[in-house]
Amino acid sequence: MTDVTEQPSQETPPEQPSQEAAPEQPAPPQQPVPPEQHPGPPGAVGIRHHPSDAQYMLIALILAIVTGVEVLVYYIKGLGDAGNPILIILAATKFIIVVSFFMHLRFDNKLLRRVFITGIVLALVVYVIVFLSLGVFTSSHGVHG
Amino acid sequence: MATTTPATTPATVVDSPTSTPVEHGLSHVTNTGISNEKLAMWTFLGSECLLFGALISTYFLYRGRSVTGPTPKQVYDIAYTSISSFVLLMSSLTMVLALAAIQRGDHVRLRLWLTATALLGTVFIGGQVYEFTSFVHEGLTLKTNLFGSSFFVLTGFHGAHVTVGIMMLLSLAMMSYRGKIPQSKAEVIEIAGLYWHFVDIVWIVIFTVVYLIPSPHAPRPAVPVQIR
Amino acid sequence: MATVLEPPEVVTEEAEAAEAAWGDTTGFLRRPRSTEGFWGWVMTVDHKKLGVLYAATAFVFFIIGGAEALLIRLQLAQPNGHILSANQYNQIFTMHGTTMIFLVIMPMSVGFANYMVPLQIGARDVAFPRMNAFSYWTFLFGGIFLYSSFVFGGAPNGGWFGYAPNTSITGYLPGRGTDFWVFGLLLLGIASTAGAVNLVITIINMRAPGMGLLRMPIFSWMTLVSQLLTVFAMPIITVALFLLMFDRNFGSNFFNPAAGGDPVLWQHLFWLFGHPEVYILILPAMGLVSEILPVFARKPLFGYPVMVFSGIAIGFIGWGVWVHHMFAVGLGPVAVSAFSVSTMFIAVPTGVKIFNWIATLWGGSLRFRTAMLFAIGFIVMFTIGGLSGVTHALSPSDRQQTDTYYVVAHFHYVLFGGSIFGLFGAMYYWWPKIFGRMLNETLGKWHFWLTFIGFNLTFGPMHILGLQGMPRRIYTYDQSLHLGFWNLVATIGAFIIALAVLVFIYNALVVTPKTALVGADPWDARTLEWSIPSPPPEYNFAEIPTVHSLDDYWHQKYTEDEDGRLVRLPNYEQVRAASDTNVARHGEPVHMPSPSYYPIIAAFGLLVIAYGMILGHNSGINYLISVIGAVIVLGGLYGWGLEPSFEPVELEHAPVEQPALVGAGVGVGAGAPGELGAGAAGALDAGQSSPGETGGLPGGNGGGNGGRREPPGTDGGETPESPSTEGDG
Repeated sequence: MTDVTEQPSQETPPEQPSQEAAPEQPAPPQQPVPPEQHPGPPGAVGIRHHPSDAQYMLIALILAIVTGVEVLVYYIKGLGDAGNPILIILAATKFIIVVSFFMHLRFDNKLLRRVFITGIVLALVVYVIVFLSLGVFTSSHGVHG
Repeated sequence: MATTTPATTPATVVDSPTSTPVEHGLSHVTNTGISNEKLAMWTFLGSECLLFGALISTYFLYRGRSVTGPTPKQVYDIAYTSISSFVLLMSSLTMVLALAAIQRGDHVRLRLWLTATALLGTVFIGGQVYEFTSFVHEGLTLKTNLFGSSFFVLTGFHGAHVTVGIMMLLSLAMMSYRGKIPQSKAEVIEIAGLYWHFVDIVWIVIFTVVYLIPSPHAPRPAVPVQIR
Repeated sequence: MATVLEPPEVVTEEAEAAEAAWGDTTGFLRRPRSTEGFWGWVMTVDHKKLGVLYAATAFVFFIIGGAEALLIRLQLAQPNGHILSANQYNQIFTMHGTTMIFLVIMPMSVGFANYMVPLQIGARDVAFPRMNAFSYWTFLFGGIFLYSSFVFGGAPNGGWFGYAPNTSITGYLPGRGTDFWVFGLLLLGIASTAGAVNLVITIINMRAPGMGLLRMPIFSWMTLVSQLLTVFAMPIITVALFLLMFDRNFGSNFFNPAAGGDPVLWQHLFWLFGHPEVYILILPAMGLVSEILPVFARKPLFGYPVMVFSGIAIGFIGWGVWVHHMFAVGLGPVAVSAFSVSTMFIAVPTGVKIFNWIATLWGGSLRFRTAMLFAIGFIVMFTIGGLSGVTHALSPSDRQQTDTYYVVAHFHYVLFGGSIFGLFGAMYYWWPKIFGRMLNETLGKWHFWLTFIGFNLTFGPMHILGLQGMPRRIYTYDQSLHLGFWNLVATIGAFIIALAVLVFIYNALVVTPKTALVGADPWDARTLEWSIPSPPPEYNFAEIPTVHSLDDYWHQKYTEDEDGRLVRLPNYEQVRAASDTNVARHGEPVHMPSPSYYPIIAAFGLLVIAYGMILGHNSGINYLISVIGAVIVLGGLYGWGLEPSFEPVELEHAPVEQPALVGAGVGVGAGAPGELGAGAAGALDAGQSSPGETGGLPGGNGGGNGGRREPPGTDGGETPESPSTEGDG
């Protein structure tokens, strides 16, 4: 977090390792490079894979289809509670697709993934424990002795 | 040039990868290479998981425990809600197309897709409002029973988040129109998009857990508190 | 604001363009320029000023909460006390708990974190300076709002834990006190969440080069863990408070047993927050102790990586123990056993820390200054509190202790003997850095010993009282219970604590300001904050340092010989002298974010929303007040989002880079307010911080932002001057 890239040799000694901090930039003589001039895909420094518009639409189509399947499962009479796991899996699929591709988490820095997954896992674990203690998964008698 | 003090010039060994500052798109250097704003948004979304988790859990806990009043089966119109779910899902598509546009430097498409996203969001909200009013007409309000309370608070919170998102999107579209969102600032759109997609995935969960997963057939009694 | 020491050499086209662009931004008042005077404080975005504001405000609330404690103790000093009625007592003890937790320990810890973390990690400010200001003002307004309940019909009286349905069914607790509690805590929650996101991002993203996470000072580490806990725990109480609010004001049924609602849900939600909350309260203080001991033992912290990982372990395991607050509710033996075990587990990393602290002291060259006394006091008192905590973990013994004064003893030992002791220690330790003068040592020792004696006299006997059967939360007790003696002792102890606090106030406000100024490194300390002048310049570091090891500053001064003894390096004197002169050179303005009035406006809007909700319950038309508040928040957020974080004036001194250009007029669209939950905090945060905000923020480095800094040393003989921060508008 320093001006390692801007003033490489105004004074002794030049610091080679820190100059590698931003390898994509042309070595700026005395001036920092305004961000507009950075090489590489604009607005996305670093390794980033961007699906094309067509791919995004394909993903959206998949999401729509999965939603349709969910609704279908709902309407199948006689499935009753057995349909629940299927519904949950389908919902989870959509969730993961949107997060991975639309929110780009699949291609982004792992730290972001960890932060988000921490929130999700924490929520799942603590709330499931609450359900267990309040008898949500046992049918009629609630909390047993 | 990064010396600690003038008095000493130690050999600089910047070894730990996470400590090496990295240039990135929004033009300041961070240890992780992720911009502060983006990391902040993801952190915030992580915390929102706990928020919506609590609301969804409350709803889930109270399934089948209402003592009176309309039950979900009696008021839900799944076909209708499927359509509004689809609308919100498509708004995520338009959002990501907006981002792709500005990343290419296509300002016109940016505004088009931003507006489309806001429009779809508004349609969703409109659908919610209509749905809520029809539930009220069928006798389900916040006060009626546990179902009413937990349903309206959960979907109300979600709707409020969507509304905030719509305002944000329209503001961004306006700012783009006034030339204040250059291609180099695409990350701003990305961050707004993260919020919007999050609102969408929360709805994915709500649609399944609240609407599709049926309530237990017979109302379950409230859990008796056993003194022991 | 950066120093303007030289006339502009070149006014470039870019500069003019940016100037013009700035005119585009919405701002119905001129943007404040000055960092001096009263308005300099009100408009500040400087983490150091905000840190002082946080800590000073928290201290005022400490006095108020302490006064409430004295009232409690007066009432309970003897059987059948007449000082307070039952209803008054309920208000006082509710406010005492709420105040100490939310208005004292949390903001005081955040105040120190705000001030010190950027200095410890080698940054110029936090990641989002305006949001930092917003957090502070929201905290202040939340506290004021909460206390205004005393004049608006009565303070909250349902306990700091607000159990439903006692609080949710309006007939049980007549009056609006609980509503003040609900909305007050929602405001405070927004402040805390926004502040937590800020600190987390700062610590993860803004460390100086070379400062890997395992070279970071331990206080910054503990701040990271506790702020992550805050980020994840606050939303849960936000939901609980909203559910309670809907039950009270809009007739919902969440906690209404007649409708099938389950009061235990409140307890789950509350304690899911409440348990991580107690680690939020203690971890910073543990970090403070870990900073103080090495300096005053002249030895490194024993087992630094283990200390870091046990802090993380505590934060992590802390999520798995909340039901231990509900052992007596009737959840059944499975739940109770499971949580008994998990609660016992958490004693392990805690114990590890205690052993490491002792090992730090062992064989050290100990200097028993007041800071050290409080740190050692922490170790002893917190251990006692931890031991009583272990007895609580065992559910059979907890069954007897719960809801008695034994619990009161336990948590005061860990929160007062722990957190407060740690925070006082930090005051003595860091006062010279913040204010340039040392707190008087003699008075400090009086403060410590009076506190130590008074504290143990107050809370020690409560273990006995609890085991004798004295229940909690009672406003009086009968003669026949024979509880009077120890209660009287406890009351005397409380007044000794009060005397100690008076000594501290006298020290801080009267005696210390007249003492001599001290230099950058009066304690011969270890971490980066001691390598800059006292008080620090606005931009903190003239040059962002490069860090090569843990305790890098110490290693520039000392090394060890083969026997492990400390040896001063030849540069020792120079290093310490350089700390005092570590300022930007003449003609080297360091670009800092500009003050702003939008954060306080947005915070004020939240306050208006809160009052509108209270008044709206009386008469529906008053909800319009909340709408107006929402509009104010919205206006504040839009202004915030659209203004650049750096004003273009500085461009005159940055001939090539145009930092304000990057940020000027470009902001993220403002999210609307209108919701009081953590959602609002998020919308505010992510929606608002303009790229320019953080872009330019830690001035003078990396691509396009921050001022130019020329290297020091080019004017070898020039006397450096501390740049004065004069406003230029």
